[in-house]
Amino acid sequence: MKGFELYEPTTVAQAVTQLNKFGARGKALAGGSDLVSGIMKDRVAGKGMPEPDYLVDVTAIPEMKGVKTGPSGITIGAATTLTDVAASADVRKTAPILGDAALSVASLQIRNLATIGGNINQRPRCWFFRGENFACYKKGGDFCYAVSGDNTYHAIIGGELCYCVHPSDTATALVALNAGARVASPAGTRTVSFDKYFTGPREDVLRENVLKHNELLVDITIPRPAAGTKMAWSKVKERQVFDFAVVSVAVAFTVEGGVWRTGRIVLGGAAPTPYRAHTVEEALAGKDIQANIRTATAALKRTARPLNLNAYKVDLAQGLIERTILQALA
Amino acid sequence: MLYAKILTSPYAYAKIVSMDVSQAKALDGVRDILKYDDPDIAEDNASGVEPAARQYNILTLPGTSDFYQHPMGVVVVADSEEICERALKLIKVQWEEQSFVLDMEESLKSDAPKVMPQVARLNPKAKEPNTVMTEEFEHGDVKKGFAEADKVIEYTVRRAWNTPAGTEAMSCVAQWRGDDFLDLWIHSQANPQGNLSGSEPGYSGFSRGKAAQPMTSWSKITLNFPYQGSWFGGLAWLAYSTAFVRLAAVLARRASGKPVKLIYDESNFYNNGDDAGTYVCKIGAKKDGAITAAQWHMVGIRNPIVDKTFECTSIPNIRGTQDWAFVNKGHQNCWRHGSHACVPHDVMINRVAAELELDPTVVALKNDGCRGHDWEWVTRYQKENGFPERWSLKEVIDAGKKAIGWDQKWHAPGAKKLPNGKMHGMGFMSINEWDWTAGRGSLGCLVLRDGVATIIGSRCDMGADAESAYRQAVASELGMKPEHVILQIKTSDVSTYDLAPPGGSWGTTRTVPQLVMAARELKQKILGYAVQPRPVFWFAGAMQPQPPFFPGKKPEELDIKDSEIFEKANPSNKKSVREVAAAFWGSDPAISHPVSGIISGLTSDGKPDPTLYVMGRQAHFIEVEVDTETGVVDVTNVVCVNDVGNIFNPEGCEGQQYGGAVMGLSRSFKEEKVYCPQTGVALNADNIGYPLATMNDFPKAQTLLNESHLGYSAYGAYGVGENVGASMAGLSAAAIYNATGKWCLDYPTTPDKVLKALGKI
Repeated sequence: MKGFELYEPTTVAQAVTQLNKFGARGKALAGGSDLVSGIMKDRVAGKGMPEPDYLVDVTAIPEMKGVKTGPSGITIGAATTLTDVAASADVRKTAPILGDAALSVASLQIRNLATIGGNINQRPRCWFFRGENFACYKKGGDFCYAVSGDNTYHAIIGGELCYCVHPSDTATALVALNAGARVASPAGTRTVSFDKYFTGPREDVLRENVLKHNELLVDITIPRPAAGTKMAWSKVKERQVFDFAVVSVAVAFTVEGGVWRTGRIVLGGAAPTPYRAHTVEEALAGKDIQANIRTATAALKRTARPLNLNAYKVDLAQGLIERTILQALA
Repeated sequence: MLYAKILTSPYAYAKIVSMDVSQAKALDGVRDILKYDDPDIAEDNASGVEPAARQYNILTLPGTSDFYQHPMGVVVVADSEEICERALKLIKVQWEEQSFVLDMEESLKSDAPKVMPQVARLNPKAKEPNTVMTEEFEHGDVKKGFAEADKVIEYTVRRAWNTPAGTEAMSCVAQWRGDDFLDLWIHSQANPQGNLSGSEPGYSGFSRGKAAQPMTSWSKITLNFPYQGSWFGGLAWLAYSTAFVRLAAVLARRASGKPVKLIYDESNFYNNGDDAGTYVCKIGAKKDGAITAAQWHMVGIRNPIVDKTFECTSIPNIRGTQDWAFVNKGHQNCWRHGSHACVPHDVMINRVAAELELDPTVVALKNDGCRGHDWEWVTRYQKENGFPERWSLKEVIDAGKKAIGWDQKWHAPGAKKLPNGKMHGMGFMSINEWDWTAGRGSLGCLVLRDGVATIIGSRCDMGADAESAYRQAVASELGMKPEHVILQIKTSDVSTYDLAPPGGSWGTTRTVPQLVMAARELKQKILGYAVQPRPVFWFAGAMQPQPPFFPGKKPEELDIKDSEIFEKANPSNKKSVREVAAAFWGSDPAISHPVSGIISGLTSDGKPDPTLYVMGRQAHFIEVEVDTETGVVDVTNVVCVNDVGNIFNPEGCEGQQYGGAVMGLSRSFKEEKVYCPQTGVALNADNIGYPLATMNDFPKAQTLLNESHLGYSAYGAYGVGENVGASMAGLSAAAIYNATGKWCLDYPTTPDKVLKALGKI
């Protein structure tokens, strides 16, 4: 692994100042489970993705740690570990699917180190992106190897230009929870809805979210859900220890007499960003869920554009949405 | 300490045309750079350090890469690992890329590009350009067998490439003391001493550079084997580590007395394997489930494929053919072997049962036998040859069925939908036990000191705890308390005291017979001392010999129990072994047992005597829930039953069963190495991308043991080292069929393949 300089600011302002100074050669560091033991250890780099020379460790910033409850919801510091998120009584009460999603990430040892901010902002797991021999779009190259290569785990939706999938479990849950991100920059802070936080390859293939080099995710705010909101989380992974989602589903919705009122269905592992399945939501709106769930999930087929080896993920996603919604109802 | 790392190839198949190491050499901290064309290794590269290595494309530092991340070309020695990595990046290599082949069926074609011409082809029948081996076995007359059948079924089974499942990269520390003495610390199960030493026939004559001059004696090499857990397999590291360790020794010689730690890249664990294969099968059977003919053709790597079916069935007509061609996917050698033979056997029993609407356990019993003989015949054989009259398969099936509730739970295919919407299924397989041979190649030495019998030998600790079996067998034979028998692992002179490396399935079955024989000899020696006059020492004063401990008695009138020698006719007349042995400390207390040949039951060439029949069996059961919407299969129950012949160490056996179950099910349900078809690059060659299952993926296995004493090792023991993992590698298909009524014979049976089998995609 390449050597680097380590900085340990104690305030958000200091961290942002340092990130601003280092530009593309600087990276915010928290648990380091992806950045250090993944990206840097495996020397994932390219023309558009230089290896970092400077790491700014944000775990010593008190403002970025812990779960706080307020009248309108909960706020989680971006440097809060996944173990703490999963174990938080406030998270369990207000946003149980976030707790479930956090608990489904990697292994206990990794969750003890990894943070929710790092999980949201981690880089894709695409094996071409991670492989040193592939100068793909995401590293500044000029090709997506998944198009003609083995694309078993790649995007079935929204995969133009680059067909990686977003790897974060917590991001999927946060979109379903209509959460927002507080982002700090040298100019101050701003709030970005997670609906707008993640960016697809057409927008900027070199990154997966709105954060610029000199910006930092400070915390996450989850609004208190409406009374009686049904929620559930499901994740299909190939093995039960430290595996990423083949497909994951987070749902949060309100229901009256078995009829879908309003809500969100979000897919992970299916698209370059957490994907909100609007077509399925619309197909369920105002209808009896039990009676219409099979037809509604079939709407996914209209939006899915699988590659040659991953059509199974469309069926898998359909089935998983159905199971997750019925699980929430139960 | 200096560190050394080898270049790994960025190409699936490429030659080095030229190499410029000047920038790397100039880097601070770089101490040595050894290139593929250096005289110190040129001979090794041309010949392979040992013949097997050349057959398996394992050369010391070749100038041609045969697969992506092949360790080759150049090794850098530096003050740190990081400097090695930086230096390797500074080396400029001009490559000449070659056309590579990833698919073995493609490689078998006559117009395929020739790959790996430098690697030895294994048999003369091998066809150009890439066939390594063509094999053929026939017993009986399959044509006749198919004609006699009521039903003939045909199907194809495919198994993907998987890995040896090592979890730590191999490393070796080498240090020379002067010109003559070499110390090695090796993370490997092999003993490479012979190939480092000039006394090994066939190697001393090689002309090598000065640094690579062979040793003059094995006894000048000291080996240290650290713990070797998490390995499972066979020949690969034996051959590989020979080249690897020899390279470390060469580098250390060039380092003039400094220790050198040579480290392999962990990715190499993911670039090997022997599991992949395509089996085109044709089976004929009578309505009652009796199989009249079995025939399959395998395109795959090394290993006979019908041998186990022939060993453990009454099927009168069996034909197996095999083609193996090189592909640019890594070392093609025996890693976790056995599954090649188990998977088609398992599928055969289950397919026949399904076609005839029979319970597969009934079909297995119907066809149980040995080399075409039915079980009635085997029973007569047992009686005539002094074996216990036991039907091992019936015993293990009965135990397994009871444990999993087979009679209550097994049902017609696709007949049971669970309240959670998933389909319930039951899977079963059975096959013979192995390793069932006895004693060949294992050596032992026993020394009695201070009332303690010490087993001396060299072996690496694989975590399988064969040591307990060694101690128990010796204690039992000597009449000593188990705590009075200890094991001392030797780290040098392994050519004399070698406790059956690599261990595993061989460890107990091959070593214990030697130890039993040595223990019996030692016991006679102890009893002999007990009736002899005690020796007098020059400083003892009295010059008269002391009377024996048991005056007037003969050795046969004595015995040993609980570490005490006693008179059989008067058990209260006893002396401790310690007391007797102490009096004779100046006499020879050792039993050396350097028997390198066979003990019993084997012919002089080491092959099983045709009259020795493999009668021990294992049976495994699983219960699954199949989600037909997602293709996800959850295993909810696992039962493993092994007839180990004789139980030395129940916990050791159960550990092997449990670990084997996780490994076997992992291969059956999950594991597959993926290569980029355009570049030949391995895409999931790491612990995150490669879906190796862990104990969290399956429920706790119920591990049951059976003792039939039908094996040929001491006390009728069988090995249980690797067979569970191999035999369960095909079990998923049977369970999925029982759940859904559809066959998914494309392993691993991942959700995409299950959905495909269900006709959903």
